[in-house]
Amino acid sequence: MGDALTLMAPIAIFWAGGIGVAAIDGWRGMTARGALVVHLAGFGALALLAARVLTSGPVGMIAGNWPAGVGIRFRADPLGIAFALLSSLVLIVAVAYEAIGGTPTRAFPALSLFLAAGLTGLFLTADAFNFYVFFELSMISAYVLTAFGGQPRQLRAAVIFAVVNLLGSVIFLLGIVALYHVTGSLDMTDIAQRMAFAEQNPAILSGTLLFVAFGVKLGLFPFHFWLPAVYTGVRPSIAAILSGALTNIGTYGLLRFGGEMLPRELSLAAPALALLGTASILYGAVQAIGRAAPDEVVAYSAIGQVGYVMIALAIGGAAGYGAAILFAIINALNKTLLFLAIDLRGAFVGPAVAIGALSVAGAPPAAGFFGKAALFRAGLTVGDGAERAALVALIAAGGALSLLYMFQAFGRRYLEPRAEERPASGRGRRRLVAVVALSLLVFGCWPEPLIALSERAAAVLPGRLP
Amino acid sequence: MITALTRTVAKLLFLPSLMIAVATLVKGYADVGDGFTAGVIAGLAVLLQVIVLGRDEVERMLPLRWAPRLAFAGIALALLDALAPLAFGQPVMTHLPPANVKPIHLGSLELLSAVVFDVGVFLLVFGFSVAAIDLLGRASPDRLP
Amino acid sequence: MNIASSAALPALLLIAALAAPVTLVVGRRNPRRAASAAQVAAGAALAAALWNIAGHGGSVDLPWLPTWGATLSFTFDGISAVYTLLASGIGLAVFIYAGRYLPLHLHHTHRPVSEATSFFALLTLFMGAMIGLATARDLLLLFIFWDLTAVASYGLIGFDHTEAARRGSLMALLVTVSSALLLLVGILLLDLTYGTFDMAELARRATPGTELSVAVALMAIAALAKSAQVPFHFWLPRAMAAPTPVSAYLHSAAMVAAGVFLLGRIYPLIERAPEIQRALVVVGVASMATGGALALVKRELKAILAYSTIGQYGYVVVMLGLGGPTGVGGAAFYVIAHAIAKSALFLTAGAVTEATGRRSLDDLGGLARPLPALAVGSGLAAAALAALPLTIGFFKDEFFFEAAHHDGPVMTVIAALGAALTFAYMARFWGRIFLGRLRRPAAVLPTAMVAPIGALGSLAVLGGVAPAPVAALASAAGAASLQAPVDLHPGYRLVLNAPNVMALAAWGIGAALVAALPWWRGLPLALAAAGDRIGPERWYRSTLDALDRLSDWIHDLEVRDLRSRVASVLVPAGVLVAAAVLATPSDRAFLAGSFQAGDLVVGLLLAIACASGVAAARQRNHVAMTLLLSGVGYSLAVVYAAFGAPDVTLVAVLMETLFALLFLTTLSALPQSLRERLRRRPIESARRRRNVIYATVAGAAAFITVWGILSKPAAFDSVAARQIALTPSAHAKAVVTAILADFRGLDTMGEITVIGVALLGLAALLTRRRQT
Repeated sequence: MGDALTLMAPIAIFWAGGIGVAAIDGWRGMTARGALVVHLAGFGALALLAARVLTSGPVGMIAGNWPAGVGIRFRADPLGIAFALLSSLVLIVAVAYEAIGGTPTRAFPALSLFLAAGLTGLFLTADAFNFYVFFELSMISAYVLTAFGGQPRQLRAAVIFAVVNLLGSVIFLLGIVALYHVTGSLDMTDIAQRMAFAEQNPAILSGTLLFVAFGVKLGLFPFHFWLPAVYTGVRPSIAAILSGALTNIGTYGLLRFGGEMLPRELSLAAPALALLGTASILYGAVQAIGRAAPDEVVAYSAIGQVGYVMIALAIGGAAGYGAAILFAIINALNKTLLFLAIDLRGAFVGPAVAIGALSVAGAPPAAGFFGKAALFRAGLTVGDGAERAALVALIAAGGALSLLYMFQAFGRRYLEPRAEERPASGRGRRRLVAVVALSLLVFGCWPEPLIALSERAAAVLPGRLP
Repeated sequence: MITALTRTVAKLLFLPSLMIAVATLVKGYADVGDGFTAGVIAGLAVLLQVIVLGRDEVERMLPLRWAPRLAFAGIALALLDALAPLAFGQPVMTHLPPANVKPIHLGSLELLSAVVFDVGVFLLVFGFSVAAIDLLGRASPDRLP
Repeated sequence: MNIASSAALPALLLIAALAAPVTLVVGRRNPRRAASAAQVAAGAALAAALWNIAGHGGSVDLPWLPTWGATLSFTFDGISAVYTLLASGIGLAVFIYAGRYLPLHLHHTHRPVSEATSFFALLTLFMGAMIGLATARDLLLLFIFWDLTAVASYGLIGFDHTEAARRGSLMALLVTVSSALLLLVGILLLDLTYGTFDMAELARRATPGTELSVAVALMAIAALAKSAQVPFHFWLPRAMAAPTPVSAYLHSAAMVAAGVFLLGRIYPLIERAPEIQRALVVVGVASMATGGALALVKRELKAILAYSTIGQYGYVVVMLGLGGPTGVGGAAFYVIAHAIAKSALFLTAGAVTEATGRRSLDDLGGLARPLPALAVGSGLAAAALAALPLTIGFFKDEFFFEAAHHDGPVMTVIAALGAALTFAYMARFWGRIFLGRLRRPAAVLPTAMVAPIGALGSLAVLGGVAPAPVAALASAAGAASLQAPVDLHPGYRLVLNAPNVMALAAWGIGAALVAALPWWRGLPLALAAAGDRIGPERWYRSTLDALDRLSDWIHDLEVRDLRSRVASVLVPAGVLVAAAVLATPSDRAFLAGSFQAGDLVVGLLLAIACASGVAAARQRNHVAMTLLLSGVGYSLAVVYAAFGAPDVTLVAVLMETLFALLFLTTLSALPQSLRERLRRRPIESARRRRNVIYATVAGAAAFITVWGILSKPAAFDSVAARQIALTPSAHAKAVVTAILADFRGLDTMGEITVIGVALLGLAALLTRRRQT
């Protein structure tokens, strides 16, 4: 199979599938199942691409056979592949969840495919503006998806989500334009090379714009105010998609734009990143402690968990970036599991939520343990003794707080005397959730594939600057 | 203020506007304008009809409800044009004929695969504009039974 | 790679791994069989442990995390022998007991029999984790088992679904798992410093120094919290909300023992951090005193035993802190003796409650007559804990006294007083239940509930008559910790040596203490009251309360409306921009170019755009607002024309027109009443002021950013030049067309899909509205 086909097959499958499913729109059961099949096919194509990239190195292609810079360049490297696989997996789970339960609106299956096309595209493109285009495609699909269900609170969530994130998109576009002005190119490799010689002032300003844009996407403190209302307002499958798939844009964007293209500016901003990360961790955790509804607890926890990614980015270097990627991957899986599971009742659900709670708290035998361990490892590599102690203490304190809020909420729901017994949810959804929980357990016992993948992905980025 | 005169002028303007749109589309590769512009012009032509004649009357003349399908057909056409080269081992968006080959002329028109892409864009923009007009028109409260 | 040196250890690990899943599967088919499955698993584990001891252990090595350098490596050494025997042996006794106890318990609490499945699955999960913990050589692996025991414990404490169970389980989890984070940091620090997770390697490589001391201190804190030592002890009494078999197994014999197990495991490192080792003695003595004193005044059966456990592990910690062959080997001996006796006593507490329905000493008495077998079995166990001769407990104290005496006169006195406390509270505990007047009639107990107590009591006597096998086990464990031969020789020597004198003193003082208790109980009661008022449990609770209040306070401050949510993005973004500007050199950062005559038109157009924008913001009529916003767009379109971009101008004009019309159509779709309301709604002046501030900050930040970026000319050739040069190759006349349909056609492709998705969204929203 040719390079171009291997590289573009996942995007092509999602994209064409989206149009196809939108066309057969109307036959409800079929669209959801059809979309699921397309998602699985796209994931298969991604897996093939991943195998190719991980065994014989990155794959590249320039659209239209033009010289680099003139045509849009695509390339699959471990960093992009890791996030593409993760996002696709989360979408598969969310779509399966809806397909099992009978999809209540018609647009969902097609939108999920356009979202997949957008996400896969932005993880595989090597062009800054094309990244923005795929970003827009993902975001507009997400805006419509948040309204999915059509209840007033879902519409309210959709409005908040769309308005705040459109603002983020404008800021992001400004940042891309700034990069173009400074470097005269939109190709990521060109930008990275030329940025090293660019003037400091415009470079740091464009970096700031990009950081704000990705911060909004991540729900990082203080750009997080949209997040709780949106995550708790939308349907569980959409909350899973937003927190498990869409958040990856922010993490990946910071790694790609910050770590690869603006490494000097990123290390200059490290104190600010560490500060906002700390604020996020403490803010999210403290907010989560007092919340009674489990979905609110998980939503605020999402704000807190993003803070750890910031801390890892601030640490930087192979250890920091590796920890950021590993943590982001596991966090996405945790949130997917929890948002889907807390809405269900019946057998398997309690243990599944417990595994998710352990994973968020970073306790074995759930995969989250290795995310936290990677953070500690990264924190311990920091040279300065006081800084190292502060970082380790922060990660430990955050871990203790997350243990508190997750298990306080878990106890309220599952260890109370049986006050209200709602009828058990459908068997299919419970099984799906059990499978996701089991996968977190399996990765908690044998995390080597995740760890190896994140270290390979981190190796794409330049090391820590002096 | 909609008078008989505005109605007549609007009706008279419809076909010429569409012609301008098509011209903008096919000549786009040589002159100012492209599929996108053409689509908006054609969409504005329909919008003018709807504003002046009212949605119901326009619906009798034009199959408005096919607009969304037209839009998605446009996306599909453009995507097909973009992805087809993959089947021949070429990168996406590789257009025919290649850079150093003279395109075939049909009168003053050049046969280019890039034009197919532009037609897709035209259909999408046109379809979207009409569908948006239609949907918003239908949603307006004075039309509710 | 040599995976395993003999089949014994793989067999043990396999049983440990399969115990919980098998119990779960069996139990889901028939809940009544879950207990049997657990008993078989414990029996098999016990047999495998004995096989390992007979075959002198072995090791298992499998690859696990090559990227981090951690391996699945297990070794069966002397320490493993002690703790796997505890986990499987005590486990077997408890599981047999629980097989009868749990159905009764579920019956009393009106719960379905099916809940037995998760109970036994968690118990076997715990057993498996404990076996893994005892045999793991890789510290990262050890950590996973360490926390797994806490997870199982959480489920078991919360098993009864009561308020006390919920609070108790959360407290135990928070204390043990949070403190475990310190263990993790210690392990990772050791790996970073010495490059290995392997304990055997670490024992060879570690050299005294700050890194080692910090790591050891962190690990020791985790161990002390797990073993319920002061000041982390408060979780253990609260864990007594669990059903009795759980208390007997996890919270006396096994899980609490994991802490001192860890101290024994990392002893080679502790030895190299003498200041930490000395601190262990202090913590141990404090725990002895606290546990012993409170055990003497508590009334509830399980609470007495819980405080006794705190005190007893205090002895073990002291012995490890004192060190030397007697101290370290004796500590292992102490753990075995204590586990046998204490689990029997917990089972007794459960049996007594089951027979009488009472759980407080005040309601009990004289049960020796109706329940003679129970009285004898538990009496032997109590005697063992009180260190009477002919029981295994005598020797545990003998080693303790020897180690203390070796250390000096202060420790000698403390040791004797500590042992006196143990004697006193055991005498009170057993005497108040079984002697005196019969206060409650007692139901007949099933044999399966009494037999394990008798068996454990007999074992305590057997160990007192023939202590050599236990001594051999403890010697091997001590040797593994000290990495030097340890030879414990327990025996009765009828001479006036120090240990014997101390033992006599302890009994004497103990008897006096318990006899005089009514006169001096004020002292321990005051201690308990002080503990309630300023003790660590109080801190724990007030911290939780404070966090709760803080959380609510912050939550109330959080913004709710859309405007503030937008502002919360704009304002911090402005602050960050300001920080970025301050952080960079200000020299020639912001330049103003010269103004030429040709710029006049552009300037005028931009002024119109600005004026339209400001006017739109002040306008309340939506139609006028829309037209003003279009004015912004049209004047900008002319600006493009002024810069010679006819394509862009055309698109801008067309789009502006289309959007203005669509927007007006949308407005007409709103009900008249809503439009009126929106127009008339007053905006309070405070809010108006805030809006002005937000807008100013955002506008200033945007202006500064753009100015700063444009002040620097592009340092590199733009790709645009190459695109213009290549336009003929794309068979296009205009570069804009070539870019849109060819060079960057994929961007166009993406954007038209965006429009298509927008259409889908529009259709979904509007058709829904029509239906409702």
